[in-house]
Amino acid sequence: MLLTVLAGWEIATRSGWLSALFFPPPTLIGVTLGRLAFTAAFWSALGITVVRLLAGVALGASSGLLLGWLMGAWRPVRLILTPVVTALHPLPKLALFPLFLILLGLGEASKIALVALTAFFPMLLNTLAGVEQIERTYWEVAANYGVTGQRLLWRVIVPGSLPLALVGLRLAVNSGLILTVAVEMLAAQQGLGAQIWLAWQTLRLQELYAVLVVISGLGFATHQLLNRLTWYLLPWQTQENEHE
Amino acid sequence: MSKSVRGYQGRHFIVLLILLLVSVSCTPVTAQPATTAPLTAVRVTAVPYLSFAPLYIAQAEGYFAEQGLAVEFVRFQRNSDSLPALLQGQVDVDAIFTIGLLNAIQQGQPARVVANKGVLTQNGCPADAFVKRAGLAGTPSDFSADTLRKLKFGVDPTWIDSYFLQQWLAQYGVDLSEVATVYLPDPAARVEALRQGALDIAFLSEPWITRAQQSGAATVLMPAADIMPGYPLGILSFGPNLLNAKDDRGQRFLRAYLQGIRQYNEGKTARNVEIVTEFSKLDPDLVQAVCWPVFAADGQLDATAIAGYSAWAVHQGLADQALTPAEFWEPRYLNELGK
Repeated sequence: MLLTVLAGWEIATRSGWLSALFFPPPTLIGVTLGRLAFTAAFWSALGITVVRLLAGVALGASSGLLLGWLMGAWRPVRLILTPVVTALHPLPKLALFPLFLILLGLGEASKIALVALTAFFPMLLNTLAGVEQIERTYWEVAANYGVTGQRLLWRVIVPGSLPLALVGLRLAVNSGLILTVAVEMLAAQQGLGAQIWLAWQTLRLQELYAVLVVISGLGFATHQLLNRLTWYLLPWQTQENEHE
Repeated sequence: MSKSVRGYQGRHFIVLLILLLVSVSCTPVTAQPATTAPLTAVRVTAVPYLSFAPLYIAQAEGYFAEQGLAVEFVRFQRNSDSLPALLQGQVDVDAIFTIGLLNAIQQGQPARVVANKGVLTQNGCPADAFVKRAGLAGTPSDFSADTLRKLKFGVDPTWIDSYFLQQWLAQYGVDLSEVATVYLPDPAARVEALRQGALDIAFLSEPWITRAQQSGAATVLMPAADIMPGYPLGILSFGPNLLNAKDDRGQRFLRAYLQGIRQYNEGKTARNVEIVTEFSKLDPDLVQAVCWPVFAADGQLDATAIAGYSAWAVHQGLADQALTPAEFWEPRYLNELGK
């Protein structure tokens, strides 16, 4: 299917049906990608984007996970924080970037903080949902055995909420990647987003498409990594899926 | 009633009827105005900045309409978005200059530079300049190469301000690659970065120069005109719609544009200030206070200077091939106006 689309695109561009300026032929995009792969600047850009993404997701997702457990397990916290969360969640994070620049400066802190904020909400909401869907029986058994605190966390809350928390992590990583690239397009000298911005500014769109391919690859790679993590942390779930 | 009275009344009636029929036949059933040719639509990229003032003046004063043109200003969120629209014929005239335009021309796309939109002039009132943050002491003559290498510069890596910075640094034997540059597209963010000390020197255009000075964040360090006097800071370019047009709308557009420049060059008259205030939404006092960009009255530009910029872009890896003036500059529209 993909090959058919690419072949059609190639033919359409080469024959002039499609503008070669705005839709360069896939072969040219491939050549450009190959050329970029041999430049240090490209790997540096990729590395910077990955670091920003990982740092932001680590910060945001871990915060969301902890707060999700807390809100899920402790009703007073949930009652107090739910209105705050629901009010802040819909805010377009990219619109807050100028404020982050003023508060945290021009360096990496403002960019990573915004990525973290983006990753925070899907992780929080899914973890909270994960805790809330733990069957009442487990809570009652834990109460009967006097299980509280850390033991309650590791014996009931974590395993019970993990499936949905991992979904939240997947969403956090995807959202984080989108925002990392967007922030780089806005105000970064380096990174894949900056490469996209530069390609658009100089109207060398074959480079833009080449970077988009790389971003897609990055998304695919993170998806595969998260699959492996899920397989490791939820072996029973993956075994059930295999039997179905 | 007697026969004579009825006869008189009958003849009177007939005369009135004839007069009525004659008057009706001489007057159209529906009164129509004198027929006028419909205005030709022209779409122009424009943003409400001072450097676009002659265009807005021409619009406000009806110069375009006098030339039979109905000009619509089209605004884009990002400067780089206007070029694709020009190349695809969605706009007819682009008034924003990017390296992308030169790359597009080099790739054979139908676009050409046709007129000037602002020229750097040393007049003691810079509309474009490098400014330094308030805490940075010294004048350009006080700086050394080592000092400059330690400073942070706020410039757009793909635009003309990096080119000017390169030219200025070259006077000290410093290359652009030896200094730290930060790109902040929003001029308000640049001013704030200067205030916070996150930037030492930044390129600004009015009204941001005046705003930065009035707020105490920065002062003018080096006017752009002192680095490259006479440089065409802005251009107008035609896309395929006007380049391939069989009529003379391109010339008519430029004729009206030059009329706008002529009125603009009268200075900060009450009418000009009113128009600038209206389209820019700036405070009238600020409009009076800022330095207005200079426009060449004949719209001509130094194409050789732009060719130098093109060569620099190649050196920076932003363009694949340097262009000669003949490849991007189309003077025939202005030349025909001058005949």
